[in-house]
Amino acid sequence: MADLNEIIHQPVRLRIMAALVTVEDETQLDFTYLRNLLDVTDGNLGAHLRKLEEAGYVELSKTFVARKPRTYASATTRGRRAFEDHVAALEAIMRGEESDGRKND
Amino acid sequence: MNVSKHEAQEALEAVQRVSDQLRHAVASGGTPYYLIMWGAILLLGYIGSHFTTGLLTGWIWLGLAGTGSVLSFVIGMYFRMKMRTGSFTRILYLWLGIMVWASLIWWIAAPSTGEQASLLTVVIFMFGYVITGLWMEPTATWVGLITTALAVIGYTLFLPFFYLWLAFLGGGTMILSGVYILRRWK
Repeated sequence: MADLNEIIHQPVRLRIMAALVTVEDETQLDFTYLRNLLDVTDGNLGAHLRKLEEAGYVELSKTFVARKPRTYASATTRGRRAFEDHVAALEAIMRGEESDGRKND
Repeated sequence: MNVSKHEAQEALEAVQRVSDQLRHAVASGGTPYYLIMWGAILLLGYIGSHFTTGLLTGWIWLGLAGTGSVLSFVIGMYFRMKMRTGSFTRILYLWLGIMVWASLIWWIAAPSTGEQASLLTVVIFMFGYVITGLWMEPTATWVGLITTALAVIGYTLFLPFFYLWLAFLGGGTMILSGVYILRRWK
């Protein structure tokens, strides 16, 4: 059974990953769009995206649109797999199975 | 890491909520805005076609089609800024293809009256909505099918009022469908 992923389990990071894996593989989401979607602050989103980037789950790319800098985020293949495993572990807990060697609830 | 059933359920619900929100945003893209804008163009254009003749009608359509093309590009760029995806490029190519095929079909069919030309144009472009809907937002497919059926019924049964029929039923269907999509996902 898949284990829970501590990096992804944090609520904001979980929602970031949920958003990024929902779209097609090649799709990148704009930082501002993601911030509004998740209803978080710039600083909060930036910090969590960096953490996910360090883990290799998210790829960030900076570009200029109409001379203004914009940041786009997308999920990496590794990130998509880690997210799927994490969701599978959550579903297993819901079914009353063990996760990470511990009996839950 | 120890997670209770309750926490797991909350986490899964949060995932589902974000996923649903985003899926709706992706599916809709700019579709409701395109529907409202082109619906308004049909409405104004065909009212113009009913009350004017000759060169003036041509100028009205040229102005409306030009405005619509520019606004379509602006809407497309706005949504592309939020989300960089291959879907937008595919839809752009689809509509460019439809314009080329529409020109060829016009040239081959050579409609002899304004009403025939209007019916042909509406039917070809509604085919584009049917295909767009299959890719992006199912409402667009229904708009394509309903507007095509209304156009054919109007041409067959109400030819003297065909332009007004197209303006209010064709354009109106598109505007209302766009508003419906926007309200459904608010």
